[in-house]
Amino acid sequence: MSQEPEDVKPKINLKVVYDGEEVQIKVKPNTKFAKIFAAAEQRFGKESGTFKFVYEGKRIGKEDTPGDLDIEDGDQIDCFLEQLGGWQ
Amino acid sequence: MPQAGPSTRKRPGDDSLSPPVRKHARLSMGSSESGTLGDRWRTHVQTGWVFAVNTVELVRDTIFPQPSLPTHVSRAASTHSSMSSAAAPPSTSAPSTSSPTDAETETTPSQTPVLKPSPSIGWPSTSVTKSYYPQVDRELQKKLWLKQHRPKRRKHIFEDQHKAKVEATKAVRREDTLKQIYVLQKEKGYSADFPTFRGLMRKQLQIQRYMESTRVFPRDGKRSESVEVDDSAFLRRILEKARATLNEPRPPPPHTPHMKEVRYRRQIKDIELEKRLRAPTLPSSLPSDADAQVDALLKKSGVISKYAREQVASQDIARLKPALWLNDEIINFYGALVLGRSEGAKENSPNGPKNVLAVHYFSTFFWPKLVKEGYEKGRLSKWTKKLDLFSKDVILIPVNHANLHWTAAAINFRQKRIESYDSLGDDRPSVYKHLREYVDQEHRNKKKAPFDFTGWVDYTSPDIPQQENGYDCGVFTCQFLESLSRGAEPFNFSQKDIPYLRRRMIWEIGNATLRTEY
Repeated sequence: MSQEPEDVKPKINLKVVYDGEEVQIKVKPNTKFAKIFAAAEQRFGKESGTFKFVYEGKRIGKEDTPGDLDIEDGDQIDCFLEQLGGWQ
Repeated sequence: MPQAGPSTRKRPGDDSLSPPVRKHARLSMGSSESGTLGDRWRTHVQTGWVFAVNTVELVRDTIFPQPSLPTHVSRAASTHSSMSSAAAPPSTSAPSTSSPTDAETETTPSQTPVLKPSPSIGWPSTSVTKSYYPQVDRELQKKLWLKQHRPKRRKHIFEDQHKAKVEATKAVRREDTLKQIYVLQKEKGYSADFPTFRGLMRKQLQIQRYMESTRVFPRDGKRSESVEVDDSAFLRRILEKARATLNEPRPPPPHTPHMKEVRYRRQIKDIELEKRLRAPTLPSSLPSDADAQVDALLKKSGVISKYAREQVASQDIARLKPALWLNDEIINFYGALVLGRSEGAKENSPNGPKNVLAVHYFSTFFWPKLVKEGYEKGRLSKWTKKLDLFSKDVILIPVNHANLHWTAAAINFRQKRIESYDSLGDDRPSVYKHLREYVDQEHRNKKKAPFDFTGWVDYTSPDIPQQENGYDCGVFTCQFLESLSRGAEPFNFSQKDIPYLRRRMIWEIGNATLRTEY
């Protein structure tokens, strides 16, 4: 990847939402989500790896980039903690 | 003959059976008209002779009118019979010549001339008259006499006891045979008790006796007595018959399809139809090779399997071991498999799995978004950016309740139902409420019109498989969703299938494909 187009392309703002709270993260379209995850977890004060990220109902993998998912400026990323179910 | 001249002369012409008394009267009158004194005297002598003969005859006949009459026989002596036989020849002409006066003078009863059997040649005989065989008479007489004067046989001193004993043994034997017959009849299906059976046998015996008596010896006292004695023979015959029929091959029971049977057959048919409608029951374990794969998958570490945007790691798949709770990873992976199968079936339907509906699967994160943020704020319209929800048959939604419990929900466009399936039997009214709101808002957003809910019902299956523990609800939920994607709504699994289903899910997730053995 050359640095030239990266500079040309505009950065996108991601709204990361967890439990009603919202944080803005500015990322490049080709940034891997692993980096974004770590940043979001840090902002919400969680250990890394605890969140699950979903974009428009689709699960986001660590290796994905915003560009892969056609994420546009201002789109929302949802964070979820692990869901469990059993009933005691 | 000559004495009876006038009478004999007249006789041949007169064949009528008119009373001889009248005839005699006319004859005597005739003789008196014509007769001189000598003639009259001769007639007188003649009459005397006739009288004598008549008397003798009368005596003879009164003695032997019927040889069996005992009173006469007792009086009679052999001499009488011989005398009467000797006197017989002259008596031939006697009746014709006898006059009414003679008859009156006689000491013997007046009916003599009429009823007296006459052995004369041409005399018309009546049925009363009997042939006259003196030898036979004598023999009969002798026999009768002997019978009456036979010395009595003296009894043996133990005769009575012996007879009683014989009777007793006979009775015992008869009872024994009767019991044997009873037992045999019981085996053949006779249902009443022994006294009733005895009554039946008695009845049969009576009928049998009656038949025999009327057939062979009607109205014969002696014979019927002998039949009475033959009781044991009758019983023996019955017993043999019963034994014979018992050994015979039995005919098949008659075919009578009455209402009960018809109803039963209908029930069987219904059950078979039900079975065909329902999915077949699940096997108890995976095939051995798949089972081995499961064991291998459980030993692996790291990321086990990937499908679409989902992936499952070892710590997630370990949750499918018995008695563990499931997390969103497993459920979403499984949901992705269900969704993928539906989409795959759409692409190549001829080779694809059968009965797969067009479904959409919302991940476990849909529900908290919907409940906590709502349609607008949660931006749920974006979740269906690339698909038309209303073109699907069923929308599948796993629902997590307070991070404790999994249930399955569905929006069934085919059957116009908002559905909720809870393995704990709760009907979850909030599910219906939220989903109705969601459908309406989605419709308003995409179709620019409120959703028409006419005909829509909130539905839960009356016989949802129920979990019997605190940890299997995730498995139940996955299976509800999978079954719903095939439209197999009367679910064919239950708690007992869960150990198998957990292992099957490990295989399915590990191989990223759903097995076809529903």
